[in-house]
Amino acid sequence: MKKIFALALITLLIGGIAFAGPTGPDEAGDILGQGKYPGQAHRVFRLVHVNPQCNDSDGLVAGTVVVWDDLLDDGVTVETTTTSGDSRVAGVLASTVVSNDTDGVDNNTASDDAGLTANWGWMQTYGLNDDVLADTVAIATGTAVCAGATAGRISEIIIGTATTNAGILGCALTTTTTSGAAQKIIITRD
Amino acid sequence: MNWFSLAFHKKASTINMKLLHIFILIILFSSMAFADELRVPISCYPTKLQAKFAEKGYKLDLSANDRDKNSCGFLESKGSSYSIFTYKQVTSKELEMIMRLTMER
Repeated sequence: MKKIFALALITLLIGGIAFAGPTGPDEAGDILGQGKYPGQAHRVFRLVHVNPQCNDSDGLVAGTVVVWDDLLDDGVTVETTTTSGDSRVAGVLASTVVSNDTDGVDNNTASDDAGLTANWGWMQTYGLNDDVLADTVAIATGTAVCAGATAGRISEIIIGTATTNAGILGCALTTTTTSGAAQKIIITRD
Repeated sequence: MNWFSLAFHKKASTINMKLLHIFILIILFSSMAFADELRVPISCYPTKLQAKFAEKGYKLDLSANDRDKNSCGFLESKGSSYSIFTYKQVTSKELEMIMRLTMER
């Protein structure tokens, strides 16, 4: 009976997915061919400007956790942080961001850098990501994660600590106790 | 014993819930490999951007309704910004290429 029940359930789920047609205002896309409706992406990327002051000549690599820059405050510029649980957390860089700055003091705004490719890059704000690195705190599967105290890394949000009300970046899909280990997370910033 | 009580019977529900979780995870992970949304905080001339994509060999539609088998995605202009919805997962090379096309003046 258990097997019959499981089989019936799986059959119903497969059947439901296979015959589900596009409905509602989105109207495009097909569940099996595309996996989703066009307005409901599985990953969302934003083109962002990286504050040159945190983007020195080495540039920033994919997998770096970034927060919204509250000094330039243009809604386009991001920077790294060393504040664990920073509530400004924005997402994770999905591409290497090269710098046009050699001394780390450049104050170019997004407008100043318009038309250039330096200091611009893609930031992932939603969906699966496996490029982020763990900070020194152990991270357990299924726990919420936030920006870590090491620039560009993630940390687990621990209930009852100062990071209780932290800006949540997403949810961990893997466990680690090793600082600097690559983590798989679901980003939920949108 | 009816279906409802069977599903919530201690042993049966443990086994079935495990199966259910595995099944849902398979569906979720397989579907995550598909479409992406790229949000660009800069205005554009949609037809010019479409032409730039065409030069690189990518057919970018101006509406989801224009899709055919060669389409790679479609553009949705929002005035001062726009989004590109792709029909498959973008690669890091494609992200780089799209950024360069976007930033060209």
